[in-house]
Amino acid sequence: MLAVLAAVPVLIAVAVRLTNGTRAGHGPVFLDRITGNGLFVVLTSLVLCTPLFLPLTVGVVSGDTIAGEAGQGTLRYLLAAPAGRARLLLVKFAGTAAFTLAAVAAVVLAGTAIGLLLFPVGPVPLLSGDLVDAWTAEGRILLVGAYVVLSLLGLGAIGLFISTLTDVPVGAMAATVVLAIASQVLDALPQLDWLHPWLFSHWWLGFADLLRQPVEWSSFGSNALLQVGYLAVFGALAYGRFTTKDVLS
Amino acid sequence: MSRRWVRWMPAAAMPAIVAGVVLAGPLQAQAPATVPARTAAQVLALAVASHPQPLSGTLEETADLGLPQLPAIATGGASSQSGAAGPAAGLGQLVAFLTAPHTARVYLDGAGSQRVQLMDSLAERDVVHHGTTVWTYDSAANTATKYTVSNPLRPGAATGGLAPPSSKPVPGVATLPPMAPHDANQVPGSPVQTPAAIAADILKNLDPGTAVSLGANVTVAREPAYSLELVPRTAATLVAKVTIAVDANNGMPLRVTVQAKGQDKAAFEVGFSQLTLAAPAASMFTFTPPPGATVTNSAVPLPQRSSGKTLDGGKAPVSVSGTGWAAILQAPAGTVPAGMTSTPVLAQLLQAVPGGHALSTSLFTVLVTPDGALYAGAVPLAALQQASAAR
Repeated sequence: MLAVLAAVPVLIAVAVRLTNGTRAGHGPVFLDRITGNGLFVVLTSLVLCTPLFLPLTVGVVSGDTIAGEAGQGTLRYLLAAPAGRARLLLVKFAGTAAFTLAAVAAVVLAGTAIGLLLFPVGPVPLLSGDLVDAWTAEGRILLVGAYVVLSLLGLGAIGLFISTLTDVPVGAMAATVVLAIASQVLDALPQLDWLHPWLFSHWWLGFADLLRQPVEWSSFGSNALLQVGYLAVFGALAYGRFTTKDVLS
Repeated sequence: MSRRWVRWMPAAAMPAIVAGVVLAGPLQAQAPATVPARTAAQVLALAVASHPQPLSGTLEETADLGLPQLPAIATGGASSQSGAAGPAAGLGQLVAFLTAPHTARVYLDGAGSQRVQLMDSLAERDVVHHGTTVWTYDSAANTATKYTVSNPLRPGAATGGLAPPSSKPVPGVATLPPMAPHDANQVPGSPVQTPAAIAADILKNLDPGTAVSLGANVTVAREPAYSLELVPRTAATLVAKVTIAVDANNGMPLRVTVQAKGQDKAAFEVGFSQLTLAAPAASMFTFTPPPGATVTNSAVPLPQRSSGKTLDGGKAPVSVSGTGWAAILQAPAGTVPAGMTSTPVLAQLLQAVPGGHALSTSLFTVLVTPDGALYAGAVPLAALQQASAAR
């Protein structure tokens, strides 16, 4: 899955390289900037991956955590060890978080590498029109990566909870991914604007605020609070469910 | 069994904790502000006498005009296609502006340099004004335009500072939300105005037709503020009330809320959500177009923002009938190009009524007659139809 994610920036970069770029205002944002600056490959990839590819992989991994073990019949043996269910849950979530980090890192690293390889790199124009040097820009990109990882932790917790509900890993994966998409659909409907700040996907594309001059931190803060809330609620739900569950397989 | 119950405790407690935190936040923010007691007239004088402050802050603009809301994706796309095709794209922007909320960061140095950053999703529109130069930058289209302003901008109006050179006071129309220009390349200036600029427009035209009173003190962006309430005495307008939150310390308007008749939610509101009263770094006001951007040097000086000018670009002579809040703006026949009312974007907004096509919102009404004349005002549609028939 990491390889597939890493392939996204490579595909974008190669496509742009072969077709000589696009006009501003067409296709995903930042796509037209790639020919001028290779660092935009990363940003374009993150814009493309955040709504679908990254939630998909996080949904698969987090949905597999408990249900996967149950489905294979290995959960019993895991619980036979004197570690306790809460610790198993924690370790499973830590695994999901680590995968999220690795997934975003794969996109960022592959994007930076292919960008450096195929395109010139220089001072980067931010959304505000101001220029920052390439090192500052790379720092901002890492910050964006951190933001995206943080954004997906709430989904990871939801996936973990759903995974404790069933013994069928595919069901848990599908449910998590469907929730991620449903949340984004709801977020696009202005009639439901009272609900928007409560959707875990609401701030997913807010990382653009890190690309303004000066950096707008409010969305980072709001996103962090929201994800911590989801983490707490669904972590507690998963704990309640998993520690009271009759494990038969 | 009791152990099972204990295990579910965290799951039950967490939502309660989250709810507690969420509810406690606003309660703290709404703590009553202690400010010196002043009369409505004193607060009004305080607001009128206030000077532009050096500040950096975040403005939130919301409009609830009773128009159909479009999904975020559709309006976002419309606003980013400003380079596409003349009027239609501009109208797309107009629609986006009338229906969607906006967040903008404002930087003022108090001496005439201004920067407004309108924060769109994954994009930004900037207006940088320094000295006699105004730069506009649109990150979605990657275009930068340079304007030279011949006359120094009016210091009273903070953002864009383009005073309506109306010979006759038109308070009702001055409260309309700032409209997006029909061609971003011709009519620059900031799409979002600061509360100070809008309040200045309203207070400048204050006449005896308005009852001025003081409401309960409020806190806006952590600043204690008086709330100055302006209520039209006439029943002929759609405006129910205009509330201006005036900073208790320096008299700067912090928030302007326009209430429409028969609607609980504010029809239009622009106010600071975050505010720092200190001069921003000087580098904020120097703008160099990034490499790769399409740069246009506009030889045309910045047009003045005349009241009610939305479609005619200020070319056609605009006359005013009626007074005060119930004033009606009239633009003569031919103002609106034939066929414009049937463009898809406009068709969504306009409805066919006796005497032409009308845009009816909770706050203002626009009537376009078949011969292209334009009537607008903060009045019910019937008043516009009467004005149109009387001509």
